[in-house]
Amino acid sequence: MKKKLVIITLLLLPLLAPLACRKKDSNFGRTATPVALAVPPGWPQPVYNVADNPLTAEGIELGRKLFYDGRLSQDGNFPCASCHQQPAAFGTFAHDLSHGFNNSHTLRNAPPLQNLAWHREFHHDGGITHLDLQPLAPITNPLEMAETIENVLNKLRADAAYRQAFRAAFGSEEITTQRMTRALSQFMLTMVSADSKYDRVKRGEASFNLPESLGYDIFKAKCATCHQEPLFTDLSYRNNGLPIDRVLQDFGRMRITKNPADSLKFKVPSLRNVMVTNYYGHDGRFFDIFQVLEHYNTGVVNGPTTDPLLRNKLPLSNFEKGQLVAFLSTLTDSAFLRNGKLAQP
Amino acid sequence: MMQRTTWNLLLAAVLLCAVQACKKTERQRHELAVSIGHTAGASPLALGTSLTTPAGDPLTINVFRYYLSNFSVLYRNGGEQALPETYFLVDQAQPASQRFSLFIPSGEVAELRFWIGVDSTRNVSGVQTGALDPANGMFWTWNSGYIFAKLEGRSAVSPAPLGAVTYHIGGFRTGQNALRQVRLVLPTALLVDGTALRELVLSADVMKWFSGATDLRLATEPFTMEPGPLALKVADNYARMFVLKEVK
Ligand code: HEC
Ligand code: HEC
Repeated sequence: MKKKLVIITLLLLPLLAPLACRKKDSNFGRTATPVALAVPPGWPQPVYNVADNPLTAEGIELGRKLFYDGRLSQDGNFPCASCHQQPAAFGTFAHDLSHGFNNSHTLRNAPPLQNLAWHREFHHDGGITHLDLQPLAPITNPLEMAETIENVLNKLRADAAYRQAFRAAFGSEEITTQRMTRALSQFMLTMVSADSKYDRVKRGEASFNLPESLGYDIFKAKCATCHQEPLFTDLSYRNNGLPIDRVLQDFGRMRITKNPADSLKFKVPSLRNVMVTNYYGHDGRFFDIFQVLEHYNTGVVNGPTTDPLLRNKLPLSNFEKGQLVAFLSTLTDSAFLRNGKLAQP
Repeated sequence: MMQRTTWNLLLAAVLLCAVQACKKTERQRHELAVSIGHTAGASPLALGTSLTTPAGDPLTINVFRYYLSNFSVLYRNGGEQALPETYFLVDQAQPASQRFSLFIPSGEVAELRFWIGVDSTRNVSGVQTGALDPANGMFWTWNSGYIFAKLEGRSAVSPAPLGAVTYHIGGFRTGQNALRQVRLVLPTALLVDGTALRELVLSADVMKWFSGATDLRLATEPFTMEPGPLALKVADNYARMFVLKEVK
C-alpha cells in the first residue's frame, strides 16, 4: 500500500518539477473559471492563440467592464462602446466617421467587431498586428480617447472594484498594460456572430426563400472570392475601385507597408450583419447598401492597383440588386445584436 | 523493512534532482555588468544644453532613449552564447537604466554582441511586459511596432513647429527593418567565472546619429516618426555609436 503511494509520488514528481520552477508572476493556481472559445462548426481554426490568454468567465467580465468604461478616455465620455455599439454589430450606428475626444472625427469608419479571433491584423489598413495591441490605438489617439496608457492604468489601480476584478481574473491585484488588454481581448473574442438565418440554412435548420436563394447565387458568382464564406471576408487587402478622398488622403495598406503596390488597398470587410452597419466603406462614404451595389455596378475606378476581379465592374440589374440585398439581409444575426452577455454590464 | 528504506532513499534522490533542476540553469551563470555612458562628441551628454552636430547645425537634446536587446557573447574558443530575454530600455534621463547585468556561462569572453531595437517576433506577439511594456511610450499604436530609439530636441534651423527635432526610429517589416547589430571586440579576452564581478564599460556618442553612413542636416530632415527611409538612414548612422571604453 505504502509502496504504491511512493511509486505514484515518484511517477508524478517529474510532472511537478516544472511547476515548482515556474516564475512567480505566472497565474498558476488561480481559480478563475475556464471558458472555451466558441468555434462554429465548419469554420477554420482561429488565429488568436488562446493558450497565451486563456479565456475565463472572470476575464471576460472584466473585459466587458473595461469596454463600457468611459474612464479609458481622457474626458470620461468615450468608452470603446461609444464607437462600437452593439445594435450596429459593434460598429458606429448610422455614422460615416466616428466621433471622438473634443468633437473630433476619426479618420475612418468604425468597423463592426465580430469574429475577431479569426483576424490576423486589425484596422482597415491592417496596421495593428495583434488583437491585444488594438486597444492601445484608440486610447492614445488624440482624435479618439486621447489618453495615455499610464494614466488609464493609474485610474484603474485607484479603483478597489477593478483591483478585485483583476485579482479574480488574473490571480493578483496587479494592473498592467498586458492584463488590461488581455481582458479586453477576452471580452471581444466572445463577440462571435454565427447564428444568422444564413447560418441556420447552412446547418439545415431553415431554408432561403426564392429572392434570398437567387441573391446567394449572385453573391457566390460575383462577391464571394473577396467576401469569402464563412467569415464573409478573405482578410486580404484589396482595392475595390474607390477613388481617393481629396481631404482624407487615405492610401490604406500603403500607409503601413510603404509599398506602392498596396496603394488604396483596404482590408476586405466582413459582410456579416452588413444591413445594420451603415455607413459603408473605410471612410463611410456610402449612405446605404444600394449605393455600394451601384458602386460595383458603375462606379469602380480603374487605377494601377484596382483588383483584377473588378476591372470590368460587376454589372448588376435592379432585380439582381434586390435579390442580393435579400441575401445580405440573411446575414443579420439578431441573437448576436441582442445578446445580453455582450451588453453594458 | 529493507525495501522501504530503499524506496525512501530513492524518493529523496529524485526530490533532490528535481530541486537541482530548478537551480541548475542559474547556478552555472555568472554576472557580467554592462554600463553605458552617453557623450556628445568628446564631452558627456547633458540634456537641455546647446550642442552642435558634426555638420554644424545647432541642437539641444531633451530626450534620448533606446532599446538594446538579444545580447550574446562570443568566447575565445569560438562558441557563441545567445542570451534570450535580454531587453533593456536605456534612457539618458534615468541613470539607473544605464547599467545592467547579463548572466552568462563561464568562459573567456572575446566579443559582446547586441541589437539596437526589438526583434520582429516581439513586434507582433501582443502586449509585452517589463522593458517592453507599451506604457513606456516606445510603441507606435496605430502601426504596431516598437520605437527602437528616440531622440527629441530643438534646433534653430529646423523648419518644424517650435524648431522641433524628432527622430523616432523603428520598423521591422521587409524593406523597413531598422534593427541594427552592434559587435564590440574586447582587446583581450575576459575571464568570467564568478570569482570577481566583471564589467564592460561602453560609451555611446549621440552625435553619431547625424553622420557616419549619411550626413543629416536638421534644416532638411528634422523629423521622422514612422518606419521608412529616414529611419533607416539614422539607424545606419547610430549603429556605429557604441565603443568599448574599458574592461573591468
Ligand atoms: C472614437 C471612436 C472609437 C473608440 C472610442 C474606439 N474605437 Fe475601435 N475603432 C474605431 C475606428 C474608427 C476603427 C478603424 C480604424 C482604422 O481602420 O484606422 C476602429 C477599429 C477597431 C478594431 C479593429 C476591427 C477590425 O476589424 O480591424 C477593434 C478590435 C477595436 N476598434 C476595438 C476597440 C476597443 C477595444 C476600444 C476601447 C479601448 C475602441 N475600439 C475604442 C473607432 C473607435
Ligand atoms: C475584389 C474584391 C471584392 C469583390 C469582388 C467585392 N468586394 Fe465588396 N469590398 C471589397 C473591399 C476591399 C471593400 C472595402 C473597401 C473600403 O473599405 O474602402 C469592400 C466593401 C464592401 C462593402 C462595404 C462594407 C462595409 O462594412 O463598409 C459592401 C457592402 C460590399 N463590399 C459588398 C460587396 C458585394 C455585394 C459584392 C458583390 C456584388 C462585392 N462586395 C464584391 C472587396 C470586394
